[in-house]
Amino acid sequence: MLKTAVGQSGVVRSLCHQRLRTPARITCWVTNALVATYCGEKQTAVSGAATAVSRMMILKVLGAVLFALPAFGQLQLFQVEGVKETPVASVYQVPAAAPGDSLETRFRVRNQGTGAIALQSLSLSGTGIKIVTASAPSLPYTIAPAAFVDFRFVFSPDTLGSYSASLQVNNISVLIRGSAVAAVTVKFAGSPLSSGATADFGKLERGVSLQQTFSLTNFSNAPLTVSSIVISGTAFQGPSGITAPVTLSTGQSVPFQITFTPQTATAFSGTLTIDGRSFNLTGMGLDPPLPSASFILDSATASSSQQLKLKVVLAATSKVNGTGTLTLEFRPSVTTVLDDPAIQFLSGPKRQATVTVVSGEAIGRFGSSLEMVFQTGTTAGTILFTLKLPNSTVQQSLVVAPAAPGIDIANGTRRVSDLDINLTGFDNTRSASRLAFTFYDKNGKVLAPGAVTADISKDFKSFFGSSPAGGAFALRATFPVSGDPTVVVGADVEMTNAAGVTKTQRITF
Amino acid sequence: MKFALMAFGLASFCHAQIGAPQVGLITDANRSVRPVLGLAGNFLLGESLGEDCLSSASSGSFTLVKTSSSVLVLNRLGEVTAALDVEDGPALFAFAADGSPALIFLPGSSALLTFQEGRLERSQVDPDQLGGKVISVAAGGRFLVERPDGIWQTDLAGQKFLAGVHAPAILTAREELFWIDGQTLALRDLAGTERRLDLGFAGGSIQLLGSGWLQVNEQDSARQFAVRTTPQREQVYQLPEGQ
Repeated sequence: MLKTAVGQSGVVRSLCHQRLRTPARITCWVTNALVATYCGEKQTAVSGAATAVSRMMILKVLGAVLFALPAFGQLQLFQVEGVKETPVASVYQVPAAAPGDSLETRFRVRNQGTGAIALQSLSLSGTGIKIVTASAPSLPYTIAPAAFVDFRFVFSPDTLGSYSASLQVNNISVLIRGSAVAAVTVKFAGSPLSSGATADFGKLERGVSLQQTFSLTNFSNAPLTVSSIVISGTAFQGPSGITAPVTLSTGQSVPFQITFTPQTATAFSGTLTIDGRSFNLTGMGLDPPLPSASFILDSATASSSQQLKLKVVLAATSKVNGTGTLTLEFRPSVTTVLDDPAIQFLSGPKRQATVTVVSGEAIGRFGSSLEMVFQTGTTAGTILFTLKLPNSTVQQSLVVAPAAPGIDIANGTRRVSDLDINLTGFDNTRSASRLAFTFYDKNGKVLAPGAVTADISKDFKSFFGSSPAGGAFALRATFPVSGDPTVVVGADVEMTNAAGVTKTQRITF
Repeated sequence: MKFALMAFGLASFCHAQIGAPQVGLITDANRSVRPVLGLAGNFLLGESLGEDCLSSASSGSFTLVKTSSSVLVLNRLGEVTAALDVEDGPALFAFAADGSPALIFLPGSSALLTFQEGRLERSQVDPDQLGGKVISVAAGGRFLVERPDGIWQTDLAGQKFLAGVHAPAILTAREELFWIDGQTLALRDLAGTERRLDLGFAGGSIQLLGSGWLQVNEQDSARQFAVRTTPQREQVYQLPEGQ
């Protein structure tokens, strides 16, 4: 029919014959119409040798085909191994298997044409060979141009002998052949392993080796000789404990080992081939986890207005690179305070830092630094550090206890008729309530009227309510003096809050 | 005793005289001028007061700022109290002993700006007379000059060689001399007494930050430090980066 359809043009016929010379192509091209379609497409490449008559005849044929088939798809069948596609001929021989084996094969139905085509039929009839139902598409199944659909079939012989089955994919017919041979039974982890099945070594830290034991057992009534045992795959080594050829008497079992050593954190596969019967080997390499971490603070206790250093130390030298996030959280113990902005890391973002772990080191890095400086602020409360690593979280809190007012600077200035006392400090309880000033003459004698006190509760409450500086304050007390201010040579100041009283060193004027 | 303290005055001042402590102003890594609030060990950077700052120095009471086109005098509140348009480039600053602005030297043109009666007056310095690169200027018309043989202090009265001093260095109105020597900050007072403070990092530049405070920037880094120079209380603190 092919020649008849295109025979009106010698040039076109010649082209078609060239394309159809390969038997596999003939098998897999669905209909003559599809060939005609191909020729029709090629028609434009035919130069002056093709006459107008031949063009017309081709178009007639093409028109007839178009009328008969709504789409110009052409299916081709491939056997798929990984990403490799091998065209399937009219006869396909599956690898040899032993009774009890289940050998699975993947086929691909690919639309090589320019139009969509419906997969109307997919069947496999025979014994010992059947389609894996779950792998088959629901029919009819439309395959777009250049698209494909896969299905699998399994060869499961139960006795020795030859097997065959007829595969039908639309108009494509393929004879599937298989043979069951007497072979040893392979066991992995104590269970029989069918040819084509997978022995999974599981997940393993890279660089670490895991040896698994396999065994060969002869369940037949006659001695069996295993001629070759070959391991392939970069992460799999062996076999050890056995040397082929080896002959097993009836009922005899021989163990051997295969070692899995992943060198990288990725999935590995390999193959155990025993006299042509293949068994898949798989395993996953994993990065080792980061060691557990802990904090080292350069002071176990904290008080306000300090700059302290924090280090992240690992329980062991890390075998991998990694990163974590360190956060700082502050929980004030002063009920009227929500936060203290001065409590912060001093490099980078105020309350978050990236900790980098470098393979071969046992300490975390903050950029290029091995430590992070932070401030304790001027508010009583708890500073909570949280380090989140990919596989763990560690926390440590640092308590800043309520304290009597802290005075950082205390000095006095004498003016013409005033005395100024300047105090710079902090009140981490926000409860400053009383100031007391005592003035002294050059002999150290207290000047009248003695201690001058003031209730400063409201003033400080108002100040702290709007201050951007946490519990820090700068206070200037000005005392108008009637008389000679040079008589006053010194002063003491006491400041009281809920946690205690602080007395300055003698301030001199 | 012919004086009396007026206790009622105390009651009235408290309300008006409590404020947030401020060390001075700095130029941050983004060339913004920002107040340094807080106290030793507890610093906060306030909001930017302006950008395009090439160099600055602060006495605590006043801050002198050099932008690409002008010199600004800022008071403690960050308000501009005097300004003068000048050429591009950095500047060196000097304050009087009371913290008020004194001199601004523009190395690019050898111009000297004097702060008098709230205004900046411009004059010219003969660079040949200085005989080297000016690295610091101090009230009273004193210069630190770097020459091939080392650092010299020059003024109208003459000049003297400062043995052991390296650039960067600054001289203050009280004739305190500060310089960086690797990871050490050296301090030499008027009497010649010298103290050394371990910085813990390689110092790259040095500037006045406030009364009793210096700003030291780490070499080849964005990290800035406040160094307390008060005798017996010397300490190095890291300033927040303010991100």
